[in-house]
Amino acid sequence: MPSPTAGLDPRPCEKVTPNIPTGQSQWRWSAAIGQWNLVGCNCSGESVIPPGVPGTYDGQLEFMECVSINSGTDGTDVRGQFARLAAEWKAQSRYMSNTAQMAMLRPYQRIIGLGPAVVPLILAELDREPNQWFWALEAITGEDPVPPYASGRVREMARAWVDWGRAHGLVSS
Amino acid sequence: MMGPAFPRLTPANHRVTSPATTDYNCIAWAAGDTAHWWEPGRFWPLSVGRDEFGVGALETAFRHLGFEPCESEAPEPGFEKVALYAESALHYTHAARQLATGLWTSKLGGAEDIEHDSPDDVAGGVYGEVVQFMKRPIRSPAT
Repeated sequence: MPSPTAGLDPRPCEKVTPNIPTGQSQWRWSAAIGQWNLVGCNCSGESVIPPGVPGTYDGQLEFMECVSINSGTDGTDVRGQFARLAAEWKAQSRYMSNTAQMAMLRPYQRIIGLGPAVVPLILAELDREPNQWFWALEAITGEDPVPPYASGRVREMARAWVDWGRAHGLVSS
Repeated sequence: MMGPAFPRLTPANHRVTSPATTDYNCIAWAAGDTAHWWEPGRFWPLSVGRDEFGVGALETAFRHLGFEPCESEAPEPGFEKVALYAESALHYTHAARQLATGLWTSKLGGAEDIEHDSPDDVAGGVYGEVVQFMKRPIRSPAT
């Protein structure tokens, strides 16, 4: 089974498919468009479903474990952890300008450690208050949707990421 | 903003000159840019890797902007100066710019801009110490 962290195209599990094992989702690989399409899921609450690595043949079916944004890999509350760690990071990094130094702070590293489940929360924070969350988003997702013309323009970088999140079902419209 | 982060700042040696914003950082402000957050490999005056965050990368950037190392913070007619800060060689921490008045200006990360009396006023805490002064000739306005 592809690793949940190998790729990220999470979708909320809006309609449960009973014949799929609890806590799992099923994806079908479309070689024509080069992406996994959601067949069905059986997750509870606010869940996201990372599709993993590319498929090897058209029509390939894979089960994936759902990742709840309310539950981290250690089963703890991700929303609460993110809120606390983000507040700590903002306080510690308030006067910093070196992005690497900001990203090396312990709260920021712990946020990255929360994994894909925290991405929707970072995107919501970024939408509300643009800040240096780009390093974490790149580290978790392996993506960089910021177009060259927006590099360094924090609000435009934030917009590019929020648009990316919206396109992947991670940000409510 | 006084306290452990800036143990040498006092009400008498600095004035806040802007609202807080995360649109630009101290490096951008020292270079006269208020539209970008300067970051090696992302928005930087020359092409460098995204893991170049040391003092050398910052000095190279200002050299690219026409600055050369100099000995002191003392104002020199016809020149503008910057001060570069670090806690260690691993990470640069800050850059401040000298104003025409001889005072200095700093953007404090994602917080406010301040005018301060000397480069040392913002040192000793989160920025470490000044590790390099640099200067370049003041450019004449285009005619």
